[in-house]
This record gives sequence, structure tokens and C-alpha cells, in this order.
Amino acid sequence: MKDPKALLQRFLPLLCAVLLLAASFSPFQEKKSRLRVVPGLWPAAEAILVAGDLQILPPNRFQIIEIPWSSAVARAFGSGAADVAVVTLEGALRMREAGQKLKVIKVLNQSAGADAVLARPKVQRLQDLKGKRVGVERSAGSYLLANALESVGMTMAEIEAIPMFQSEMELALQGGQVEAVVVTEPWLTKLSRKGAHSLYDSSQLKVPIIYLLVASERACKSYREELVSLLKVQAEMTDKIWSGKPFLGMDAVLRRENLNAAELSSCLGRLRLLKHAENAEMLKQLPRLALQMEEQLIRAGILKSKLADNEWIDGSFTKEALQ
Amino acid sequence: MKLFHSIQSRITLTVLSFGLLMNLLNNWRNQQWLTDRRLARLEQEATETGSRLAGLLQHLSRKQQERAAELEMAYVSLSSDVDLGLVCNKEGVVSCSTHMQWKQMDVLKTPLANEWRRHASVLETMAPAFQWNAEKTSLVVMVPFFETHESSSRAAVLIRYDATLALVQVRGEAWQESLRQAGVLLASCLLLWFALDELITRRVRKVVEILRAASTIDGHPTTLEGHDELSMISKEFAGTVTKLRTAENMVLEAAEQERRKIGRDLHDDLCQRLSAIKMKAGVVQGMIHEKDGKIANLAGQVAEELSESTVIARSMAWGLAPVGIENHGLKDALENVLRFAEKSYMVQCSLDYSDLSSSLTGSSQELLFRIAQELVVNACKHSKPNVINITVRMEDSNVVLSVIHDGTAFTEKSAADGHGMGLHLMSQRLRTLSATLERTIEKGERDFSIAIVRIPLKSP
Repeated sequence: MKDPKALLQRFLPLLCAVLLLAASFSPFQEKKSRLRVVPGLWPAAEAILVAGDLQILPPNRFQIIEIPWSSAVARAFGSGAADVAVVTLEGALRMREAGQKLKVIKVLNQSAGADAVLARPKVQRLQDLKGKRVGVERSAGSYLLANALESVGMTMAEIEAIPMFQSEMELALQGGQVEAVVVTEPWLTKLSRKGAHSLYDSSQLKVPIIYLLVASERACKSYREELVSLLKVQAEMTDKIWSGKPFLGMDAVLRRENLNAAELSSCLGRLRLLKHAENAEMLKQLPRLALQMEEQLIRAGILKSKLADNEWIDGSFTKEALQ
Repeated sequence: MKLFHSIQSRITLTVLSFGLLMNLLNNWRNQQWLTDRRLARLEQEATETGSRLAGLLQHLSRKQQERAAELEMAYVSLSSDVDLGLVCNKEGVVSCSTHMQWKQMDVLKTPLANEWRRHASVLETMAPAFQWNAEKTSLVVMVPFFETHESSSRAAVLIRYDATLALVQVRGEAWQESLRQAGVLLASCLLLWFALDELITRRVRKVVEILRAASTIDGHPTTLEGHDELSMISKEFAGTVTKLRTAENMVLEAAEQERRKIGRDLHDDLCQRLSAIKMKAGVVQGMIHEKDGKIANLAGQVAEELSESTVIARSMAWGLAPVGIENHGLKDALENVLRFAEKSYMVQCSLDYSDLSSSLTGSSQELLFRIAQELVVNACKHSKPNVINITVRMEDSNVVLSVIHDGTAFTEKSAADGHGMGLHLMSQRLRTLSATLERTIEKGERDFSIAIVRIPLKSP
């Protein structure tokens, strides 16, 4: 065998040359930016928004972006301007249909009356909506409206669905531009305050409206630590907000949702909080529920075709956060 | 550490130190440049966003499209540097905000209250304002617009940008680049170290080996391959050593000639004269003996002392110029040496001689004789042998001289500690003959020390 020192002297310069080339031509690694979270403006996402307000989610690692419209949230997520978003199961299916690569990492809440079809006083039954104009935000309310109509043997074709944002519905309903609207909290409380009444709500659905925390595939790969932290903080803040007691940051929530304390409490009561075990179970049930919802949406003409059966749920983040 | 004493290490460390210093300076310069560029971009973004938003909001508010204005503000918040953005009328009521909790609030109750107060004059002058804070980490832009066609319906877009994170990122990028450059520098220095080792250190070590070899008996000056400076040094050195050896041989030859001359003069002149005087003293002794016994006795003593002086002078003459080589050849000269050893050291001597007169020149025979003489005398002096044998023979193309004795093992080097005149002269003679000296011991009932001198015969 040759002298190891001589071998070292022969191969070390070669190794140095390789290292030199590698160092010279190594691509510049841009520093990882903050995790961009778009929670949307609904009570289900308040835990994240409050954590952002109170800087429990450190601003140097998390950027909380407030976008009031669910369609704009989906667009920001789809364009890559956001890494994490809070969307409904229906919204997630639409995003998947649009080809967005996402992973559901947690089930936040289940709507138990927080979404409803509200109508002007003169419209008393769902059947009265036949041939009438109904305001609906396409990315959030189509599923509820389709189910509501199906429950009385009607179809979407029998009404005139007017796409509009929830913030526009109050004026549209008051001005008589539409006979009914499909709203979610906090608009449900606000419109009820103005005299609108409910014809159908999410507590009557077979497949409930579920609020999900979704992350882009890129974020799942690059921001695991941040996502786990986000889930931990979200769980802690959720417990505080749903405790029924005043909590730090509550004034900001009331301002943001434009509600008083009692209305907020009532509003939160219409969102069923899922315990850890329920959350895990719901994640398991999610493919089945999604399939049922997908069939309904296809039937209602909201989704065009069956979605590809790829991996879109990742429970590992929740599991790690709750350990 | 010894490692850092070498020129190779010193050069490498100097380059590395200088490079790292340059790297640090470059990092500082880079940070300054990147920071300036980032801040300039932020200023540009603030100016563009403020102006665009003010124009758009003026249009939307006149069309009463507040929801679209809300959406525009939401898109403003997508910028990673926007801390908070508000749209306020002149009464200070927030109509839009990047954070919905401030909507419909009094601006003086929002985090931008101070900024609003500071730039309140914007609503008077209707000229936009841009201002950095003292640390240049926060930029406020306030751009006015008219909500309706009334000149009194004044409002403004107020946005605060936070550059802290951007600057941290810029510094991080500068350090990342510096680390990459330091990696390149370190790898380059390692390569330089290896290159210097290959091109200089190893060749210098070879030169040192050549220098050391030149000072030993068997040292033959060699040269380094190539045409660089070190190769030139080794070639010059080899040339100088060759010239020195030639000069040494000439000195040796001159000394031998002088010795021979003195020896001949002693033998031919002084010894003859002393012999003549001795004979005359004998005659004088015979003549005086008959008349005066005392004077005759004294004359006899003079004759005896003259006789002894003659012997001494003859010995000196023989030592200086061994007449045997010139007159009777190497064999007789060696026999004389052995006789001398027998007589002086009581050693039993023998000689095995093959005739070499045709193989060696006169001067070479003389040098061989001197070497044999030195070996025999040294053996007698230091090894106390009972028996000494000298063998001279041909072996292949070498003339081989062996001196064998049964005394204690001995080498000239150990006896004279490497600095004796005898050893030095013998080394010179061996070198002149291009000869080698080898010593062995033959073990047996009695141990025999053998010194073997091999003289290569030069091919014609």
C-alpha cells in the first residue's frame, strides 16, 4: 500500500481545486423571506390575526397580510404572493381545480350557522327565490346556495346568481338590487342587525362548511418550522378567543369585524371549534367530505369536472405542532 | 510551529491574511452599496405606490367605489416593507387601511398619529411628503388627493415603510457573499500552498541534499532538472564543486611532488654526504686508535651517531618519496610499509600482490600507496593487531586494495572524530581516484576487520 501521506498530498490539491470551483460557481442563496400568511377576514381566522397584532407571531418571520375578500385571498395564494391562507373546503376545491398546488395542514372550524342565505323581509321561503336575483360571492357561498336550493328541489338555474363581494351585499340588499344574499360571518351578524332574516344556514348542511388552513407546496417544503410555529400559536390563540372571556387583542378584533362584544360572542358561537382529536379525525374524514362536496358542486355546475386524486392533505404539521 | 517557518507557509499566510483583509473591506463596501440600493428602491416604491394609490383613490372615491379602494389597500400590504397604510380625509377619519381594525377610526388613535400630525401641512399645500426617520429605518410617504370635485374634499394616503428587515436581509446577503469569497480565498491559498510545496520547497530541499552530499566522501554533485532559478543554482554549484575538486587534486599533486623532491634531495644529497662523513669518521677512528685511544673512542661515537642520522634521514626521505614506487614499483613500496609496521609495531605482516603497473599511472599508484600506508598505520596504532595482510588485485574493472587485520574494529572516522588530517587526506585521495572505501568484519574464531578500497579503471 502506498504511503498515506503521499496519497494525501496527491489528492488534497485535487480536492482543493474541486472545492475552489464549487465555491466559485456556487449559486447565490437568497435569504429566506418571511412566511406570508393571508388569513382573510372571517372569525375563523381571527386567532392568526390577533397573534399577528400582538406580535406573538414574530414580524421578522411572519408577514400577516389582511385581504378582505375571499376571492382576492385565493388569487394572492394562487399567484404566489402568499404562502398560507384560510379558505373553506369549497374554496380549496376551487383552488385545486384552478391548478393551485396546495396542502391542507389543519382544519380550523366547522360552520354551524355562521354561513346563511339571508333575505329581505318580504321573501319568506326559499321557493320564493325562483327567478329572483341572489347575491353570492362565488368563492365562498355557491356551495351553500346550491344546497339550500337543492333542499327545496330547486337548482341554480332557477335563480339569477349575482356575483358580488360580501361587503357590497348590505347596500345591494337594502337597495333592492337583490332579493337575497349568501353571507358568512361577520356579515351575517351585520345584515341580521339591519333586519335581514335567514332562509337557510350551514347547520342544515349534510357536508358542513369547513374552514381550512392551506399552505403552498413550496411553503410546506421550505417553511416547515414556521408552519409548525404558526399552528401552535393558532391553537393557543383559538383557545383564548373561544374561551368566552375578554382576551388581549379583543378590541382589535371588534374593530376589525365591526362587531360589539356580544355580537362577537354570538358570531363565534356559530363556529364549531374542533378539539385536537376532532381535528385529527376531521383531517382523516376530509377526503370523503371533499368527494361528497365535489359531487354536489359538479352537479350544481360550480365545478366543471372531477378533481385529480393527488395528495392535498398533510396532517404531519398539526401532529408535530400538537406534540 | 515549525510548519510556519517555511517560505511556502509564510507566503500562503501572507496572501491569506491580505485576502481576508480585502474581503472584510469589500464586505463593508458591499454592505454600504447594497443598503444604499435597497433604500433607494424603497424610496422609489414608496413614491410610486403613494402617487398611484392617491390617483386611483381619487378616481374610486369620486365613483363611490370604496370596496375597490379597500382591495387596492390590501394589495399594498402585500409589499414586505409596508408597515401600515391608511387613507384619511381631512377630518382624520380612516376610510381604508391595510389593517382593517383601523377602518373608520380617528387617525390620531392609530399607530400613525404622529406621522399624520407631522405632515398635516400636506393637506394644505397638496404636495406629497416623503421623510425618513433619523436612523433611516422607517420611511413615511403622504400623498394628498381630492375625494370629490370639491376643492375642500381633501384626503391623503399615508403609508409607513419599515426598512429594518430589508436592511437585515441586505447585511445577511453581504455576509453570505463574503463567506463565499472567503471560501474561494481559502481554497486558493491551499492550492497556492501545494503549488509552492511542489515548485519551491521540494526543489529547495533537493538543493540542500545536493549541498550535503557534496561535502561527504561519496558525494557527487548532481543537478536539478528544469530551467528555473533553483535549477540554475544547482548547476552553478555543481560546476563550482567540480572546479574546487580539480584544484584540490592539483594541490595534492603539488604537495606530493614537493614531498618527492624533498625526499630525493634528502636521499641523494644529505644521506650521501652523511654516509661519506660516516665513512670518513670510521677511517679517522682507525687512524687515531693507534695513537690515542680516547680520541679514537670519541671518533667512533661520532661515526655511530652519523650512522643513526643517516638511517633517520633515509627514513625521512623514504617517507617523503617512497623510492620503491619509482624505482621498484608499488609492490616494493608496500613491502616497505609492512616492514616498517613489523619493526615498529611488532605485527606479523603479509602481502598478496598482483601486478598492476600497467593499470594504474604513477601518480595513482602513489595515491594508492598513501591510502594503504594510512590504513596500515591507523590499524597498528588503534587496533593493536597481531596480523596484517595487504592484498592488491584486479576485480572486474576495479583495482581492489584490501587491508585485513585481527585487531579491534576501527574506523578512521571514529578515531579522529571526523576531523583528523589523516582522514581528510585519505578522503581527498579517494575522491581523486574516484575510489570507494568499504569496511566489513569477517566473524569467525577470530574476527577480522577488512577495509576494501575499490578504484574504478577509467575506460580508454
